[in-house]
Amino acid sequence: MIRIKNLDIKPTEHEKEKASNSYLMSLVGIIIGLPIPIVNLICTLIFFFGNRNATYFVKWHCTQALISQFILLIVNNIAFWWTISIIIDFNNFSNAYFAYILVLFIFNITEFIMTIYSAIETRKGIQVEWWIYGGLTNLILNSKNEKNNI
Amino acid sequence: MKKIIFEFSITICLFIGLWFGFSQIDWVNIFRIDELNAKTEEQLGDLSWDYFSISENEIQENEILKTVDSLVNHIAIANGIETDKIKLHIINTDEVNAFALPDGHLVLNSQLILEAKNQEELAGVISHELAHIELDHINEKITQEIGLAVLISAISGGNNQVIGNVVHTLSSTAFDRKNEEDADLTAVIYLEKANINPIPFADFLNRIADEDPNSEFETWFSTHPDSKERSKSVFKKINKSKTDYIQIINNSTWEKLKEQLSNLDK
Repeated sequence: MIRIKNLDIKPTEHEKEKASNSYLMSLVGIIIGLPIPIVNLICTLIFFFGNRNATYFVKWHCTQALISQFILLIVNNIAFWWTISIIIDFNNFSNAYFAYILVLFIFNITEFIMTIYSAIETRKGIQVEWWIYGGLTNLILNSKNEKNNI
Repeated sequence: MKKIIFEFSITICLFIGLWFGFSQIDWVNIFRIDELNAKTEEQLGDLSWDYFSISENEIQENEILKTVDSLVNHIAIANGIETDKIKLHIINTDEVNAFALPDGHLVLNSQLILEAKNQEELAGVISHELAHIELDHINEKITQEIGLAVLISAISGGNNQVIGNVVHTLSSTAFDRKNEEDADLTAVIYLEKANINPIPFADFLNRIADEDPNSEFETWFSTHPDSKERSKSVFKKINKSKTDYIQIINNSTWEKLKEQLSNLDK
């Protein structure tokens, strides 16, 4: 799920702290925002835009955190609106609904643990790349020709 | 890029696989969802009926109730509907109307029975209301118009205003066109399964459409609009080759029922 990559450069203390904070922002967002699954994305988005001109290491982790929250937003929103439709419609609880909520719970818990782990490791200056998100982050940042010293 | 697509595909497959796997477990039964809803519906049905019956004159004569009940029971048994679930009430009033309240309360006005030319017409209206109950149109309508949260708070807090709204919604306003049509077509199936001729039901809808909307039919028109068109679609649905129809009540009992109802003081 998570790959650790060796860096050519050594991030400064300030960079490590900022990169680690990008994950912490999404965690704070999750805690504040439940059950409305958009606050975590907004928090991460604000942090992302606040660090647009930061160094590549900081920007890389802000982008990975943002992508992770964006995908979480999509799957959580399906559950949110499905639940709303059930509340309005009274009698539509189904096995598929409960199964979706359970899968979503596993998905969210996994991502929550991965976020905490990433925040800790990034604070130590270790480059952690997530399954899918790491590749997507590399793709986005490399396409902008910003690859330099990672 | 290939790596991302591969990882993404694996994740999607895992997500769908887990979802499908967990869907095989009967969560609805485990969490007793139907039971919870049934309890809520039962409370709502009792509160609605209590509210409605205060201002209405319910007929208590055993003979009248028994005759109409025999029609209701025959249709219900023929269609696998639990007879205990249906609570029949006949209201002594000169307004023509029939409607259902939550938890199987079936309300028929005495004037409707008097306007019916034969038992098949009455059986048609009963089947139509049974269809609304069985197709869950009652819950659907009140939750759409009033909202589940308001309903639950009204049940727990005994809010009479909300219960009044529930009763008004169900007794004075129509279901949407699709639900009315579904109930009509299901009524035809119920009648045919019960070996009751459904043609008089179509005739009844057609005949009533020509009545004066400002007469005793006023509430009927507000709860059952577009009778003419519905009569046509009911007629289309009828299985014309079926002929083995029976009478549930004998003619003398039917006439006696009407006589008893017309002799009641309104």
